[in-house]
Amino acid sequence: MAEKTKKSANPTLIAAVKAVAVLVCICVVCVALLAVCNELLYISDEERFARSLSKIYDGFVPDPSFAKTPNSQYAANSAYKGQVNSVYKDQKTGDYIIEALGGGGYNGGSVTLYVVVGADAKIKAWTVKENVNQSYIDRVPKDAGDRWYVGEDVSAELALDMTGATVVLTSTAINNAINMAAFYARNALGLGENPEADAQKAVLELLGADYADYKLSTVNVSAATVDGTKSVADALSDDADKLSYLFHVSKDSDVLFAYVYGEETLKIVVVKDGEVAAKSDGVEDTDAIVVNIFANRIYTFTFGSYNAYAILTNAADGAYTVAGLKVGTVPNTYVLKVTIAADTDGKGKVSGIEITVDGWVTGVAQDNANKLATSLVGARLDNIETLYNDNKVAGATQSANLIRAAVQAALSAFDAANTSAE
Amino acid sequence: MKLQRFKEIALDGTVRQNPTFRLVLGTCPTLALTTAALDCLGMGAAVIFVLVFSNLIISLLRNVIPDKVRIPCFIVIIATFVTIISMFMEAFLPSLYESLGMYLALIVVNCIILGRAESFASHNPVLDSVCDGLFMGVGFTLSLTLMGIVREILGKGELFGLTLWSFKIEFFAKPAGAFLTYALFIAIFNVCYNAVERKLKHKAAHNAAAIEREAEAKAVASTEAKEA
Repeated sequence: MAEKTKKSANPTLIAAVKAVAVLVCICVVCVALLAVCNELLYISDEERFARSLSKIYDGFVPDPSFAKTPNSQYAANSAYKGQVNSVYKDQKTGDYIIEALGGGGYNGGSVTLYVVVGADAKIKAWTVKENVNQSYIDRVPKDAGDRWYVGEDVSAELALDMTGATVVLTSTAINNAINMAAFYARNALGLGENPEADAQKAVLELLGADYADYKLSTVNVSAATVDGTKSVADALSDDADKLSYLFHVSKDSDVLFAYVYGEETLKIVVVKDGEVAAKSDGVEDTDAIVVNIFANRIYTFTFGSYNAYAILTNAADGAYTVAGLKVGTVPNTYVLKVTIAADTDGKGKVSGIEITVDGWVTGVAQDNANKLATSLVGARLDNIETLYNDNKVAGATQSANLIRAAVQAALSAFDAANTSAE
Repeated sequence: MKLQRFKEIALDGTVRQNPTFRLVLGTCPTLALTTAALDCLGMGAAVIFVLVFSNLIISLLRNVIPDKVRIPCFIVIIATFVTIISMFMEAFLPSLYESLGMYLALIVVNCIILGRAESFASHNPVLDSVCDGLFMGVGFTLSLTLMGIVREILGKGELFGLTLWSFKIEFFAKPAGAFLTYALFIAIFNVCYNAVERKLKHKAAHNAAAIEREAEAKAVASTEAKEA
């Protein structure tokens, strides 16, 4: 009986084993064949580069002394969701070939370009190296590389050009890659005019050797608003002088703000802990901007990997109007009216928070962010972190950071005022 | 292989079972790539390579591959040859490789190739299968190139990349133009094919009747001779 069962089961088993064995054998042979072909037909990165470049650039001879690895400080820029992968320099002409990736394309994809930037800071040519998810890239005209952006100066951000194209997102990714290359050319290669880099350089020169290893980052004072509409730059400027740049200068927990203004001559005021740490020639304490700087003090706090900024625009009778600033990808500005009363030990304690400008645009997280504001009532500087951690919300981290920064700035201002009064 | 069998296979592949105009297979590259005749030739060459070699291997292994895993086996074999031709084109014909783009990789799922593997190569001897692959590929290439020539001339005023004149009807270079051209080609091809087939059938019937009449006449003549 047992023998019979064994005999009847065998053909099925054998057939299954045979099927698997044949399939595996075919796969193994195919893999071996492909491995051999790959060995014979493999195209190196250098060959790919040479091929792509040959379409747009004749007689390229790389400068052996020029480092192909990009300067890491300028190799990425979140504004363009971009990065620079490699940079080459032509030995004869001094032209630069920048391999730049630009994001923001269709389906979250990107386009990588080779962009030729001449020593005169003008874009000479560009070509697509590769793309991710841009299935309609064929709808970008084949001669786009001869027309779009060619002859443009890299000194300023280049506007989207999609003449003859019917794909907005892929064209946007191309525009981002071009701007990424231009950004790198301006900052790392020193091509074209770069007033921002000049301002940074002037700030570092003013601060001197002690601050040489401090990191400078630009706070976007044009995008950030103090009340939901008026930009920080406008709030601090007057008719005579306009605030051009605000740099966050930091090393570990040591933070300074460098305000740059003046059209013909750069004027710089560096503020640390609410006091002038350094100022350039020509800066007067009576300058409207200097007055405005101290009337609208900017605070910064580091929460995890985020730098959150808040600007205190008004303080009267224990009511502090503070704006958590929109910076970079952070959502819109939150403006809070924070009421603070002295606690038993004289330190400030939040007795009320009113959101006067709601920075969140839409979505469920808006309610969560607003709930956080309510939960911070009763906060003091020494317990705000605990309160925040107990009530922090998912899906609105950056908005929550702005609210926390605004409340923390108001408490800091209250405590500073009370300490100085004592 | 007998000459008659070779002729049959050649005629099937190029005309009687023309994959593009008769079987309406491989429509995706037909519609997408026929804007330039040169790309059509490149695509056709790639398909011929894959068809010939996949048919060869599948026919060789037809008695070894178990029926239940035949489709995965066919796909693996086809994909291997597609990858090889893709690597080859990237290495030696980079501009053509770029022009064909993703359609080169999509040969793996081209119905013509899997269809021939399933319906012909897995049931026929090696030489027949190779010939079938070759002529099916040639049929596909000719169809694609013909369409490519018409669309390139009308849509771009060019032929094989060379400018003929500035006059062009851009509609033909667009997807809608591809559908229209394809439909017209199918219609013309089938009208011609049916007309020729009818004529051949008529001729064959006429010949058969003539032979029959001749045989009858011979029979009558022999009967009369016997009676006399």
